[in-house]
Amino acid sequence: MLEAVLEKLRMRIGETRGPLVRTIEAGALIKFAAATGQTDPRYFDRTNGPVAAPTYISTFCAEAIAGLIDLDVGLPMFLHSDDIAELGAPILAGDEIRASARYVDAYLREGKRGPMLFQTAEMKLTNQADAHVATVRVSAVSL
Amino acid sequence: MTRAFGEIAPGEQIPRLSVVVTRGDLVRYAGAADDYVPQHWDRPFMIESGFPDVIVHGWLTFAHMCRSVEIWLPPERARMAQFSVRYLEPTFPGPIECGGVVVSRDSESIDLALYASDANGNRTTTATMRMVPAG
Repeated sequence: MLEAVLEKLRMRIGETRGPLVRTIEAGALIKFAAATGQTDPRYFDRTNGPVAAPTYISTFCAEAIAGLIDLDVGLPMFLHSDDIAELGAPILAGDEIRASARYVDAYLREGKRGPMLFQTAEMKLTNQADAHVATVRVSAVSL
Repeated sequence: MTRAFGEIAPGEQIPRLSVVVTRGDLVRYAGAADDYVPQHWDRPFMIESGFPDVIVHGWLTFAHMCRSVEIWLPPERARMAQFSVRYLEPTFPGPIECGGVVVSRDSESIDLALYASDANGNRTTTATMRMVPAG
């Protein structure tokens, strides 16, 4: 059964979503910085506009990638397995960030608890000047 | 302790950062990151699924790993250019420790190997990271 699911998923390789466009609000950057325990003042600077904390890029995953990775593959649990990222221009308050995502891979492995189905999607973020902000490859495993 | 980029040498340890992650922190992070999957807030569902508790968001664990780096080498001096993170085992709420070591350095970059470990000392998350001079 999983082989059939895998076959369907693999047919989706190359499928795209987006671009999702988000205008970055200072309050959202500050809220994210507080939620990740940041202490550096640059992440809270309302006078000059806060800079996004390094992992703020993850906040685009829910909208940009979650719809691409199929979490309902007939296995009871899914977990985040890995992230690979290249970072470019920083994200600043007032930026307009565009996130485009692509389904990259799906494969099966045998794990300790049974079969593990991995899926990978990639998200590219650019800003209003079309500068590269980040390329993030996110993998999840269903098991 | 802050260091200039050029003073960093391979083998140097990144000072350990100890953090206690609570379930409340997971709720706060879910709101800030717009990540509401039940693995991070629905304890009965997780216990029914054979896990002892909800799981800390991988990106939150990694955010603390990044903090350990920035406390050691502040963003005014170096920025993160690349990273690769592996979530080897679930991290559960409670104490976690983040740290790492300098693997190599040249004039343009520093490569780090990072980890986060749980209260039992298990390395639940590992990462490699490339830092480059800021600006």
